[in-house]
Amino acid sequence: MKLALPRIARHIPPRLPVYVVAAFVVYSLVMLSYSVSSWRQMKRSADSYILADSARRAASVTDLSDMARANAAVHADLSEVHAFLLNRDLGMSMRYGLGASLQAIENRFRQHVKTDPPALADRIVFLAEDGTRLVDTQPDVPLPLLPEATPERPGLLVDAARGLLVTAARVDHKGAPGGTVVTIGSPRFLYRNLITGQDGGGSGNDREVLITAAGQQLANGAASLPIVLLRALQNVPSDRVIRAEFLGRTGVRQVDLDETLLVKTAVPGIPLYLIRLLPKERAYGHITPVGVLAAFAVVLILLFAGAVYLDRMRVLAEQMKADISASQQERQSAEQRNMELAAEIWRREIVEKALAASEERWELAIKGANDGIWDWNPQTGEVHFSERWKSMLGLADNEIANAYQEWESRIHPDDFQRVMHELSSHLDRKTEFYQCEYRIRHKQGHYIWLLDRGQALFDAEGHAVRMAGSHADITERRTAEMQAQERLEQLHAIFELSPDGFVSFDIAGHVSYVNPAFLGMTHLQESEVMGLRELAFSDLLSGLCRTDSRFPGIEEPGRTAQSANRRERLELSGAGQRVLEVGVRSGAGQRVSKILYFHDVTSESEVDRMKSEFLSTAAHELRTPMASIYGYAEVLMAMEFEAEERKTYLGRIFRQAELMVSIINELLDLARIEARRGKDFVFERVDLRVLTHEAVTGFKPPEGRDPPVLDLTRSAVWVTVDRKKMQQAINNVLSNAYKYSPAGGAVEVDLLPGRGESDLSGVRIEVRDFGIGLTPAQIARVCERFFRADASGVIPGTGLGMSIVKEIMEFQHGQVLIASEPGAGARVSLWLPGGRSI
Amino acid sequence: MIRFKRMLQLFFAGLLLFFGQASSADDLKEIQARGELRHLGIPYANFVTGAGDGLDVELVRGFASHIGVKYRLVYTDFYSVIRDLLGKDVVRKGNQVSLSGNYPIRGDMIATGFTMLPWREQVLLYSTPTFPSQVLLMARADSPVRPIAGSQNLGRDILETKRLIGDKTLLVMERTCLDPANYGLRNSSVNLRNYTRSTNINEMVPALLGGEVDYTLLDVPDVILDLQKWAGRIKVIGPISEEQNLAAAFPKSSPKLRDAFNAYLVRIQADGSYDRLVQKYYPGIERYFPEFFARIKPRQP
Repeated sequence: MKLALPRIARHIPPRLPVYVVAAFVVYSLVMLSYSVSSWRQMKRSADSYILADSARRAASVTDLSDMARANAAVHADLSEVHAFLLNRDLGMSMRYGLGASLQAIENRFRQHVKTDPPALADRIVFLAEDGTRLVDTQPDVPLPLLPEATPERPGLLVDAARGLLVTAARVDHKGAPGGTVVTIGSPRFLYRNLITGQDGGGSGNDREVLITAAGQQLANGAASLPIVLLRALQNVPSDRVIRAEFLGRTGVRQVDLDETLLVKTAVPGIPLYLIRLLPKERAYGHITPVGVLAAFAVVLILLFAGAVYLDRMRVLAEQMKADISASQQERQSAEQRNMELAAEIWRREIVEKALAASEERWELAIKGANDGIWDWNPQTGEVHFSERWKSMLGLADNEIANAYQEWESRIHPDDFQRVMHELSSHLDRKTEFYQCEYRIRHKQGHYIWLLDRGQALFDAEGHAVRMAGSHADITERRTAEMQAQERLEQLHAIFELSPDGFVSFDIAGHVSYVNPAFLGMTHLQESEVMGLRELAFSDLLSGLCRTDSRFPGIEEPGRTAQSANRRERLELSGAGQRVLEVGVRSGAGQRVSKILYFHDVTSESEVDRMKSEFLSTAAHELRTPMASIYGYAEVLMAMEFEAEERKTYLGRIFRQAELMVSIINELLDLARIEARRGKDFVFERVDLRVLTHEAVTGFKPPEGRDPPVLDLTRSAVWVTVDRKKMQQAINNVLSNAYKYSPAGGAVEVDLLPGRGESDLSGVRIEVRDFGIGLTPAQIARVCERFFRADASGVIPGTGLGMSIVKEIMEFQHGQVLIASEPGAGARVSLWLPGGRSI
Repeated sequence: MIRFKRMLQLFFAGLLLFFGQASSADDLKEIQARGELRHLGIPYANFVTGAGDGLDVELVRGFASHIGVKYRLVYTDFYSVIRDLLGKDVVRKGNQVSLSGNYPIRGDMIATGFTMLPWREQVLLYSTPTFPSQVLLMARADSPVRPIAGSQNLGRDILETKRLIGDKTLLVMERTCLDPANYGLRNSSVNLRNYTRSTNINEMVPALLGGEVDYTLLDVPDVILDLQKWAGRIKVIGPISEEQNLAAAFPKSSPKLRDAFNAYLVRIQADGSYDRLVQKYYPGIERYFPEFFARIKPRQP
């Protein structure tokens, strides 16, 4: 049997308890639904009971009202009343007998007032048939409105406003009306069988009140309901059980109506309503609250959830069991590893001792090298800095923590990325060693240069577990290097920017450097020159020279001390026919053997040539009149001439002298313009139309020639020029126009818009003549000094006028434009930029 | 002889005076010394009900307490009450009243709805009125005589009432407030029937209803009670007397006792005690004698 049970248990599905619980929950929920149905039926029964009870209690109010009516009838049937009526029938006078009868009635009434139930008849009145008040227990109080009464049924009136319950009973005396007895009580009487909330028991939400159809509450001695609630009650339907808290939604909040039921029942026979407030607990207390059923349902759900949870826990327990088994296996494995680890520890201790000795030796070596040592654990960030390492940074031993950040935070920002790159490369095993030169902040704020070197140890997985290295202070070396580099850069810049060419040869005699100026002078490429031996270089350079000029070679200049500063002049055939001066210097250092120096003197040569040519030309131009003057003067001194003839000769001398003066003046003008480079120009904003007009009208044409024809129909043209210089230029052009139109013809001056050679818009003063004209070659040279289109010398002139015009126009940013054909006259334009018309 | 008779008369007069003094009622001081006030009461209406209470019983009991002595009610009747007070019998000859005989003094004061009558005042000291009253003529309901209509003239009403009596039999009780001599009925045509079976006035109406007489006299306090008791069977024809006052009576030798009673009466009228007693025993009497009670209304606080 003992063995059978486990076997049976093994065959029970593991989830059977869950299924059982689920079945139980389903069964319970079905039962619960029946319970809810029963709850509803019981609630309806309770409501029916409440309604019936309210109807019964309302009927009791009717009974009390009937009691009040009956009481009035009793008073109307008192013997004293009948005695009075009998005595009255007997003819007794009011003074001598009836008064006593009335007094007896009053006494009886007063007795009834005392003995009648409270509030039933606080006041009793006996009225005669004609309404005369015969007896009144409160004679000083006016009568209220009386109800209608019939001989068969006393009348009843509820005056809610005044709090009166009035009944009236007709007195029947021997089958005839004998007056009316009125009892006046309080509506409190109607509350005798009701729960009033105070004396009658009950609490604020357990009481009954009577209200009229108009919503007035009959006073009952207890606290009245709020008016808002009474108003709300008017709209409450009768004979229904209502949850009173719904009235709270209508704004009735003065009364705590929570958990309160309300029933409104019409009182039969009188226009009143019974309002019944009762706690819900009293009405439905015997019924299991639906909340309990709901809670039970929740319990069932929780039970089901608990079963599922327990099943889940069972599954987890099985898993845990399997895990424990696996864990035990791992533990055995771990114990084996521990033993192996112990052996490894023993082995490592031996190694560490050896390592300690090695480190000691290493420390000694490092101290000898005066380097700082660091030892970094990348996994913990802890770094050991040696005392020397700290002292390099001006730090005492206790002024820095053994932390990676202490080092990292001191690296110069400009070097940081580079250092990190080097470090990462090594930690990523991209480099065998870590080495980097960088700046690090000294305690005093300045930076020192370090040579940082180190190497990391990696574990089997390639992770760095330790890294150690040294710092060497290389500040002095780096400073020297930087100074040398700076000097080198300065020299490089000088050579690069120098207009003179430099070629250096190394100690082996190969070209090791050529600067851009040399390449520009010779139009050679650097690749053609670099590495050439001296001889090859000499041949290459000689090949560039004109045939009448040759490169003397490199060796020759520097052989003697006298030749050290000697410079040779080379004239290159190509490359713009440059003229170069070549000097050579021996190298002072160990790396440079020679340096060739090339200075471009092309311009100086051209100037020298032009000066020579100019002096030759000027001397020639001056010599011609001077020769005439000299000849005529010599003739006049040597010979006697008639006065007329002598005058003629003197006139020739005078004209030649005048020509010489003109040449000299114009030379002076030209020289002044060139020398001052326009600094003596007085620029002002002038109307070119006015200026031209003044120049033309001020011009004196040669004898027998018409003045220039001026066409100035344009409006004002404003330009910025030197007024006098501009007038001088116009005069020179006009003078040429007349000179070179010896056959006559008009000279026209016009002011026109036009574009210069650079296609800029501007204005030009155009002077047209109809003379001999110019060939293109003459036009090209017309502005050269001493150039004259008339080679015959018939046309007088110095050959400097147009040179002056050109200089004037160029200093005013203008141009001289010439258009001419031989024999067709010429058009010379003085073009100026701008010239805005107004 | 005449002088002897004269002297003898003086002797007896002195002797009478001596004994009279000796047998006279005690005044306040003596009563207080004795420690007891003897109240002479006749069972009559609700003044002395015979059951140990009544308006006058409570009044005098309160007075005894007021003066600091015990109270004792001594029952008597209308024929003996003055003799029991004064120790002398009262002899009336017309309007003349004399005292005769010597009897034991049984009480110190009378308070029993005792009407203040002129002849009584000759031998008694009255207190201030304690209650109003009037004598009315009563008949059975079936009497053909119709009650007078009543007017504002009491004298005329009295004459009209007396005239209605004619020669019918009228039940009276001599030496009481219903004594016909008090109202000028003795020497008239009225057939007087003196009720002698009892000194209790309450028995007058039953005698009337028994057909023994056509009319009976009855004072107002009894009328108020009997009109309810015998409602529809008796009726009031009209007044026989002017309005009368009832008061407590004292011997002439007890002025201080009377004064003390008056003072006590003033006090209880002022504090409302008297009014409560009236309401207790004669509710509604104020409607009949409004002027009297208007005078003694308690002072408003």
